Amino acid sequence: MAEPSILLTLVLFGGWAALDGTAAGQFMISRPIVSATLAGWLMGDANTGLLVGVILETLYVGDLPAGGARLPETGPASVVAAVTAVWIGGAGGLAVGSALGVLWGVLGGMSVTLQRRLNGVLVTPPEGGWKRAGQLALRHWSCLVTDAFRGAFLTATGLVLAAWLAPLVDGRWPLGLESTVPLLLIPAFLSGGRLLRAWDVAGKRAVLLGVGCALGVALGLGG
Amino acid sequence: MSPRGLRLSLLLRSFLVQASWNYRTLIGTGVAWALLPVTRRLHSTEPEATAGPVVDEPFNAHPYLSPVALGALARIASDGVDPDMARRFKDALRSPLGSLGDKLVWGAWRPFCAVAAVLLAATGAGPIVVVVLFLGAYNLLHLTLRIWGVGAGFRAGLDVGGALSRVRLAERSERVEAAGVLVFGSLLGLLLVTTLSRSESAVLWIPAGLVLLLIGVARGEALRRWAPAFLVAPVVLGLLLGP
Repeated sequence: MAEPSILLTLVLFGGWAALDGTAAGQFMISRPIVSATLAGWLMGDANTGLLVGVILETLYVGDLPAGGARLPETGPASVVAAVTAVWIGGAGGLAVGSALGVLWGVLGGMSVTLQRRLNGVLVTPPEGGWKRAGQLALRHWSCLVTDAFRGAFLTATGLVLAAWLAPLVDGRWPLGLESTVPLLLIPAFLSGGRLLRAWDVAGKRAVLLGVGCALGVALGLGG
Repeated sequence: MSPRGLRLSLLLRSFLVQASWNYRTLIGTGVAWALLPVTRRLHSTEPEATAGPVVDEPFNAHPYLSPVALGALARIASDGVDPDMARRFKDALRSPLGSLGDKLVWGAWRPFCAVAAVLLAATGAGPIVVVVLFLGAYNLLHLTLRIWGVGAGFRAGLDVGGALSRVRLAERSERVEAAGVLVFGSLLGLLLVTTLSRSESAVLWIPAGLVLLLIGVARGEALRRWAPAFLVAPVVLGLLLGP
């Protein structure tokens, strides 16, 4: 497992990642490629964190949050995914961590909906409207604080579940790393297709896609 | 508070404008909170500054373009524009600030940076290098939009529509999308000849990936909810059938 100070840091980081998703800043700390990598780094294995981050980032790359769409919440989920992957280790850790991250992302998305409803209650003005500017400010800040607690709680419960799961699934994963990574990356092709559709890939852009593909093949074969 | 200090305050508050996002006012309450320094400035002689006419009204904008609205609303409040006109102006701002930001940032810039970061990782760049370059590149545009927005809004006031059209955000989105297609193609080509080909089951993965890609192109958003299931189901199956 990990030292209590590391676990506490991960929980706080999960809270920050949750805030970054919508409420504060949106610097994209909450993206899987960032939060999973940094969580892995905190656990002493940034490479596993990056691999989990790549798998989840590609899975969600086609999710465009336009028009208030309800999407999975990636920040706390990516922290849970990376820590699970490091705890279990190997191909099994990668598979279980990624799957748990996906489930926690869905759960996180639901909790975001509840948070927004709670915000609606918190910022409902008293009858006759806000009497003092400070009242409005206090309610606004209380939304931020509850959201941070929500993210930290979500991360903490995910870590508890991961700690419980780790010994149960240890040694049960049947595939090696060379087969597990493609298995986990394949669903991302569906998201990639959605992104290409959103980018309206036809005509000149189809040519660009072909040129890019040729460059990638050359890069892969050359490397 | 000096005009420069006011703009800085609006800029900093814009980072938290979505903190009280809710289904009733969307970011309207956050905008009212962000504009409190303006209200306090205008009502500084009163014993208790009220939140002013912007409170509790629905408002929405892309968060990175919300400083445009904050700057413009601060300017027209300082100019003493009629409250009804200010309300109509605010309503008129919602749609362009939402759609332009969604198209440029969520629709083009973020996926472009994400695909480029994954490509970088796939070529063997170190984890921290990938994170630093992703955050650095992404936030370059993010911070530029916020800093430009608050200044442009404050300078333009009611003419903020002109300021928005002059920077041609929609055209820039198209260019980022085109660059994104090129980077996406590179990642696809690289994955096909490395990660997918080197597996024992390459004969399975490559056609499966290409079929899913085509399904994604054909069906788009209709399949958004299914992608996670494609990941979770094989993992659960693998654990059940495992040793």
